Amino acid sequence: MRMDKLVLVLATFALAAGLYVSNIQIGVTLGQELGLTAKYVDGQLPITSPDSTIWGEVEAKEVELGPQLTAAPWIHPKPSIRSLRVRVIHNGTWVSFLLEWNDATKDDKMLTDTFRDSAAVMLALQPGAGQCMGTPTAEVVIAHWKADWQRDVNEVFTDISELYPNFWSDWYPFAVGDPPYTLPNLMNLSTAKEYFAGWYVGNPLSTPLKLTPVETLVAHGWGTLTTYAFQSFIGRGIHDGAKWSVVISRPISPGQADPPWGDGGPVEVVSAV
Amino acid sequence: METLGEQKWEAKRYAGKTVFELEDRPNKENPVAGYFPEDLDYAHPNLGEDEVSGVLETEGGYFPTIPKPLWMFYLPRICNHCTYPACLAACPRRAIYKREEDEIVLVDQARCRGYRYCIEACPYKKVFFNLMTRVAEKCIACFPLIENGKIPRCFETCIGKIRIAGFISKPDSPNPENPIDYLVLVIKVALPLFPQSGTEPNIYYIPPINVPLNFLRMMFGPGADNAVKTYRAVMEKARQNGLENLDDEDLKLIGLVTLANSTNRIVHRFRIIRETLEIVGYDEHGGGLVKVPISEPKHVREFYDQRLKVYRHNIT
Ligand code: SF4
Repeated sequence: MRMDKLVLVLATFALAAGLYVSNIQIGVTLGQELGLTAKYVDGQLPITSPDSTIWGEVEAKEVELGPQLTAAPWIHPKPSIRSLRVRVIHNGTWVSFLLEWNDATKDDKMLTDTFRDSAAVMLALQPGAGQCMGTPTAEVVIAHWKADWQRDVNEVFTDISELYPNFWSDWYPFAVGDPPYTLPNLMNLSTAKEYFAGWYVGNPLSTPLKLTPVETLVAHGWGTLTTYAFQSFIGRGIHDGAKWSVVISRPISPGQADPPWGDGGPVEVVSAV
Repeated sequence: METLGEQKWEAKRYAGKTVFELEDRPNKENPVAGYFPEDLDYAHPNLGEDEVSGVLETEGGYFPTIPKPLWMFYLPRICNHCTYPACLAACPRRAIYKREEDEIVLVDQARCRGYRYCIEACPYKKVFFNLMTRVAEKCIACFPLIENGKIPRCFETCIGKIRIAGFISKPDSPNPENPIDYLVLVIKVALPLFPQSGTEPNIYYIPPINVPLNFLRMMFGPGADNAVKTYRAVMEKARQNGLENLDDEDLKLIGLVTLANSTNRIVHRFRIIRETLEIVGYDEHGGGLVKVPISEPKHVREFYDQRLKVYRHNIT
């Protein structure tokens, strides 16, 4: 299938990056419609390369971010990230989004009292899904890139001794050698799993061996966000000391959770930081 | 409790706001008033745990005397599996649930996404963020053991042998033969910690009788006075008159303290055998589980051992 014009309607909301969890600042710019058009690129897309030169040839849309005021957590009227630059390209089979925002601090660790940086793209599977999380009659598919997952992908595994260098823990019955432990070298995977309940039951957040920093989720309203059985998004994020550049990609129609863009009409897209 | 600020008890009835009602809560995103612990709060969890808490009010200063005028006590705290769990109320994803069969409160490890509202909301700070799995975790009350009629591991391994696990009846229909009902609902010597939280915690403590009452009231509410009075009176009578001269009610309290941790099974019913001064625990079908003497045999060893011709330094 070849589409010269992949039309995306972009609204935005912001999830302030790197903040203490209870200060999550979510923002949405209600009704901001950008009419973003994906640029056709011949050949292979930089599906995991936010630093590819191809992006330089694509016009960026500056998106203003505002607070999300629909559901808790909703209070903070001023998200710490106020704008986002978005570029979208496709080659007929794949679509890639490049999200960039200024952020001098790279928060890619989950400590007990901090949250990591993250960004998301949401595609409406039916019209009328609204700007956040869809509705009972209009489902959405969400690609959620997380800085801590990116760290896991880059460095294979983040042991506690890397989060807290002075941390001292008792002996891990499933590990060999000394901390910081690595996976799978210093941990017996099948035994270790029994000590990590989230991993054991297959929670993707808890799986230490991550294949991609992007999680594919579906939702049909607030509180319904669920990891989708069919993971179709991939991506990569890099931090250059001043900003995050995150590319999120997937096949245009992977066969499951496909937005209705086959008919050439606009598809609702929401992005979040 | 600092979050709740100053609130009132009207006699034995709490007339203040609970964590569910406080409008002026620090974080309005969270429907429950709470405190989100910072990294440093977790840095030294045991700091000061063996230090004395104060000097008995009546003594007016520290002098090396016996019994010591200083006081302290250990307060083992696990998740209370509250009747109205604040953690559950705070979760925007409904990833926390209370099991119908035994009211154990669990965090669904597959559904949790590590938002940590539960950690902020729990007044007892009993949900923790697991840095490895990046989701919230808490005590599961060893539910696989409970399902098999056994007590949780921390109860079974309590070296002080002072924990009793069991099921409680509704407050208006206590069964005096059930150990928990007897201690909590009938003679009311076991009290919930910080009842003003409003979560109705289901771990009950027999307050230490040598600690100033003001302090105990602060921790366990106005019921502390009665609990201390009842417990102290029974112990006094036992000391003065001997166990065999206690009435049945008094024997029950001492018997239950002895019965604690004598079996790893949940005791649903107990009975005192006055003639032999024993207490018997039964399972839910009425089958006998354990029989223990209420009065433990006492051995006094002489300071000087004639046979070995040595002095003993520890004669207790
Ligand atoms: S003690 Fe805390 S974690 Fe346990 S049920 Fe109560 S509110 Fe929830």
